[in-house]
Amino acid sequence: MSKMKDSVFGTFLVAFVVCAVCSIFVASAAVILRPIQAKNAELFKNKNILIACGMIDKNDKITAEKCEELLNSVRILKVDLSTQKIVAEGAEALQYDERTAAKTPGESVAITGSKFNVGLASRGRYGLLFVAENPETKEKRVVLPLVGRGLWSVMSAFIALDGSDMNTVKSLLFYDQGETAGLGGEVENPNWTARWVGKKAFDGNQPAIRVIKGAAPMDSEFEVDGISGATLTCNGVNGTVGYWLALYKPVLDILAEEEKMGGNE
Amino acid sequence: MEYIQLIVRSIFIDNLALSFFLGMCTFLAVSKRVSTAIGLGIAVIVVQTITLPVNNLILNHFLKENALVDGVSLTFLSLICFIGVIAAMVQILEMTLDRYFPPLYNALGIFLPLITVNCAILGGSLFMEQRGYNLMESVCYGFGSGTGWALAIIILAAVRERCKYSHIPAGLRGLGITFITVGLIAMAFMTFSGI
Amino acid sequence: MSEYKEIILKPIFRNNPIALQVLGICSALAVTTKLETAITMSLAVTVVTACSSMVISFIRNFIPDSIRMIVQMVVIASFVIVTDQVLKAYAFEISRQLSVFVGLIITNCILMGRAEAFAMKNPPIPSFLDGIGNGLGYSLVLVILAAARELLGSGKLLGMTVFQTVNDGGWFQPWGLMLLAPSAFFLIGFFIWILRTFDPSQIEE
Repeated sequence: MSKMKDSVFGTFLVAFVVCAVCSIFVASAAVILRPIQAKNAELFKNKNILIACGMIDKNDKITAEKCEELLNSVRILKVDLSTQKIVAEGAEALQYDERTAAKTPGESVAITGSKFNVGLASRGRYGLLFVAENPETKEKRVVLPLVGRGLWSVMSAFIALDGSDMNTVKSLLFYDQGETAGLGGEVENPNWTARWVGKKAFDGNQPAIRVIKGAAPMDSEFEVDGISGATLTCNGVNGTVGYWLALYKPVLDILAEEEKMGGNE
Repeated sequence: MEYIQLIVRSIFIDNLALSFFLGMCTFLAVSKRVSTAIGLGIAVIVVQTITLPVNNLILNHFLKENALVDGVSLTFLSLICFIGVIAAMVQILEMTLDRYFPPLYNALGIFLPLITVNCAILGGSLFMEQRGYNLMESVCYGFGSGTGWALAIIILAAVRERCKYSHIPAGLRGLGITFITVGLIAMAFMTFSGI
Repeated sequence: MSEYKEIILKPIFRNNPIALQVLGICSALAVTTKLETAITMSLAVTVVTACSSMVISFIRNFIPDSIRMIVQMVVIASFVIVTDQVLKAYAFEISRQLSVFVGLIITNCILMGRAEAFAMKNPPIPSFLDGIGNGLGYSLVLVILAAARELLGSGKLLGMTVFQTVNDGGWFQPWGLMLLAPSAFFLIGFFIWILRTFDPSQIEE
């Protein structure tokens, strides 16, 4: 045996058998577990949408079924951001991934000429929009996805506006960012995002909400306290929030119009 | 501009050794003398700058969903591919240096095998995958993170050379004081994150 | 039986792989800001070490010398990938926090060290136990560090409040440094100091 194992043939045989066994082992594990992983990733995404919509609390443990059920009550729109036309609704719209689209030629639009610096070269042609009504409080919210560059990383967030005036901020939720932990990373801190609540997003037609350096005046409608030591991240937040609010403004106007008509009926 | 930012960030703030604890085994073992630390540091920079883009190409052209066969994602194989690429690149680099640049080979040669088992290299590739860097970004990140690691080990070696002449409590001698030194260096590096 | 017990217990207390041989701390420290992630990581390392040691020991008489390392590597890598996939499927939140560090178990020196030093020379069952012992020795350090960092850094253990923090109306001012990287180096330095004070034979010259 020992002679055999060090021969050329033996070496190849052992190498082949080890590789074959290991690859079957790894591949079968990957294939069997993939559906469960995909479900987890989807649950993570959906949960963030629901939190932004005010349907669930951040610390709630929630099952996939419950999540789906709640999400069914949310109106999900996929909008062409240049023409303001709704191209898809519901589950079909939810399939759309703006980050992938932004990097796909033909699906993306170059970002130019905005007075807000979002820090990205391109965006997806379409954008998502969520309209939700909390079944208990009857509170209506419109949720926009945000994405933009902070100091170091591309940050992803949702901002929720009051569904009745399309202006008052209801919540801001950063769910993916890689800013300096303890400084810029504080954008994720609920204590900080809570300071956005109640501020006004637009002054007339222009996005006006912004983070300022230091503490904002108590009665300020548009200004939010800065995070100390994180001025550049805050600049990124301003650029990101401003850019997307400006881009979505016409869509929001159309929604507000619809809302009014619906109210008159 | 973006690229410069990425390099600066990966050298000072996301330092592989000091804030992600990567490559610690070699970091502690080969930091007794400055000259060896410099040799290893340079070897890490070179290998990191080469392997990251190569791994990036492999990831994007073979492993990503729909890259090889439609509807099949092989990303679960990324780990083992990265290791293979790193081992192969180190081997190729060793042979190329030996053949064309003998003086460089004599200086760096002994460090190259050490790098294959250095988790800073593998960690760099995994971070590249996780953060979705493109080709150019991975070149920058490879160079930056390698430089950061090299900088950290050279500083540590310099401090340790001095430590030889100081009175250290018996139980702290060797490893103990090294860890505390690394902690202090890491704290110093933390101040960069305010930039 | 007592022989098996010895195999398991020795690496935990008298020959702890992290504290004495400084093996495998790469992946150890980054996950110690929270007890929960540290425990998950410990479990993963223990399982991978034990299983790969056992498998390598099973086939030890068939492995040709020339490709010894690469065969060990392949076996270890397979177990790491499977562990990573299982974590992603059944512990999604934690695996997000562990990020790349599960994958980095591959380069953990404990695994290759045990495969080479023990599993290549011993039968499967002792190899399996040796893997568990070394995994637990690693876990011990990890869990102690994580408990200290989470408790002092955020006043919590396993996410449950132990010290009420000032922000929540309590008395405890969280020691923020504990959550940052340097504290892990300091803690492990002091840990080694304490260990060596009790066991002077480990002191280096």
